[in-house]
Amino acid sequence: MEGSKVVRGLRIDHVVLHGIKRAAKGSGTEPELSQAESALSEQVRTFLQGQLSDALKHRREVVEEPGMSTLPGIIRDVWSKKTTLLAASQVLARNLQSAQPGIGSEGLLMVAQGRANDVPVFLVAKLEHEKGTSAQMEQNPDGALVYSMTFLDNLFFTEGSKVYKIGFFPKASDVDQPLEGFIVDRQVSGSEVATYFRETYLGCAWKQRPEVVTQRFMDTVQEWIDRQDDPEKRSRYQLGLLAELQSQRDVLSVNSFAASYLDPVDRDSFTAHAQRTLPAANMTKDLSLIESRIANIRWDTRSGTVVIASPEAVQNGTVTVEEAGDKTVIKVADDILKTSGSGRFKH
Amino acid sequence: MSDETPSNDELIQRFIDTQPRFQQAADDVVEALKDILGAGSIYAAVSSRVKEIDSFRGKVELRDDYTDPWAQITDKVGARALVHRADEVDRIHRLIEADGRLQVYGITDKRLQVGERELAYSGLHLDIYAPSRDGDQEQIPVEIQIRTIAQHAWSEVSHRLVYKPQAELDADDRRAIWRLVALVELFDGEVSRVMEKLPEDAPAEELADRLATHDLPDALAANYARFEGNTGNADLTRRVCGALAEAIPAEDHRQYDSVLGSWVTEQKNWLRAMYDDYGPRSSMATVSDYVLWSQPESIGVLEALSSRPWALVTAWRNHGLPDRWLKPLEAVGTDVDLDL
Repeated sequence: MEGSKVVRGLRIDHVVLHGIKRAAKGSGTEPELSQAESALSEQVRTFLQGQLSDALKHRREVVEEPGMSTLPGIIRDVWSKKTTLLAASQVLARNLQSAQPGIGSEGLLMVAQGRANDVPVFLVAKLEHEKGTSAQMEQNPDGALVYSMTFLDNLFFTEGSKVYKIGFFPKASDVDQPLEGFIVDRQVSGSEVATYFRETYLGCAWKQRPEVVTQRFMDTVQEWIDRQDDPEKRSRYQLGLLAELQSQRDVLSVNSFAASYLDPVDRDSFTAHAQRTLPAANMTKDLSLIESRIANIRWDTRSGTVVIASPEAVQNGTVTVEEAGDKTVIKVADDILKTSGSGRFKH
Repeated sequence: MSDETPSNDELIQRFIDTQPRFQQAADDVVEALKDILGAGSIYAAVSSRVKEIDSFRGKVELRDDYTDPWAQITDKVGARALVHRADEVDRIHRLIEADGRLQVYGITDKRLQVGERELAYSGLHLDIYAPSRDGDQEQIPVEIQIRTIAQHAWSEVSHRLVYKPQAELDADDRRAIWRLVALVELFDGEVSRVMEKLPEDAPAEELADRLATHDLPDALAANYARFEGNTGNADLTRRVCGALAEAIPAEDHRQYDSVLGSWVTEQKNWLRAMYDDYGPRSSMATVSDYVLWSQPESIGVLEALSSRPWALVTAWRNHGLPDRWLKPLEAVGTDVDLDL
């Protein structure tokens, strides 16, 4: 399964759950280990598959960094049947218990085996406990029917939940190559918490150099924007591209860019265009190669006139771009501070 | 009869012994037929039957003109496809021939046997061989009847009405029978006329309306039948089809049935796994949010999610449909998080 491919037809066959305790790093605390695989009812299996498929829409591509963690080797041992899923999962639970920082909350480690895109997959997920209430109709002591409510603090992976981290590894045709897979972490972005999960626990690095993939993202989006006929849209989308690149978020995503900045009618065409050159997975943002290109917006007109404006000037309406018949009108409503010439007039 | 000719008792025992294989053959033919018709976006009620033992015994006992009764009794397994429109009978025949999974070795076109001054049953019968399985010693012949619903109704009651040869009926009864048969032809003719494809120059709005109310539900039902046997709730289908039709690009309105049929053929294994997990036979069939998974329109929703998810979600909301119906299909049907 290549990174550019979608994750399809996920089927979970075996699951082991272990309890991870809240404890200071290095305290030697033992996780609460299961001694057998969890039974999977059909409803639980299909619900989990749906939840995991949904979560994997936010995946980022990673690749094994040799020597960083024992997890890739353990996965290989499970695939080659040198160890069982249960035994492997117990080691992985102890590793997580000792790797997670003191601020890491308690929860469950789910270790699972299954298939996706017709190849075996191995999955580890740190799932935090969630809270909720349930209601059930019953008869009270006076014989009246009443909904009784129960407080639940042992829920996990509920619909809409973001409190999980997932490592997902499809089996490659050549298992001796560095392991490739995906990580999903929607809890905290770009912090040391993600780093402990990705590097210390999974033993992985980002598959593509973030600065290169960020540049490719900008070029791909720019190419699509330039193809739009409507100048007003082009300006608005250009502004969106700069806003996305300059935002505090450390992740770039074709889908979230479409959802955040594009008119619904343009989103499918953009997604189809972007998927030709960009990974379907999310990308880690690094502006180092494009810093000089994202400071301003620039319009080059047919007559050779060049207008350069800051994104803020477009955002606050100082510079506007409108369509007027077969021409485009760029208006600057501002105070002129200086007028000067540049270059040389040619006869 | 030669000494090698099996006795009637041996024939009946052979029939009993082969019945489980006949049932498999009947199931295989139904599955293949539904798949072939679905790919062609023709919705038909497809059924099959294996001849009852007493019926086979009766035929063996009563007919003395068989030289090889086992080979000559070709209706040991039968299948039937009932369609709405008369022109679909020939389309189905062409689709079966083109597909090749069901090898046709004989055709009985009852329509050609009816003289211009005659009125009679006019279906099409195909003699085919069921797909072979490992261990088969012989090919299994299956007779497929393809008829319209009106032709089927006539066929079912005609033998009770015409209990005497036509020559022995009095003029009034003969005329009554002819009027009934004429009604069958009239019925089929009118259905075809009303359901005929719109002309090339039909206005775009008329095409869109026609897609949402007729062509799309038919194409969805035909393709869904490739995986599931239920027909779903018609009111729900009507509501969802409005949104689905809005999400189909105008340039695809005329040929959406083939777009859908091709996509389903391409995604067949994945769709089968999905319906096994989430469809009407699955453990999720009782969970209310999963209601669409047991509806024919689910197949159109999945196609739209894979190729134009944003257009679908926009149309979905325009039609006031709840996100929670879409969410369970969106989770597995697209890589795009539609924020439902």
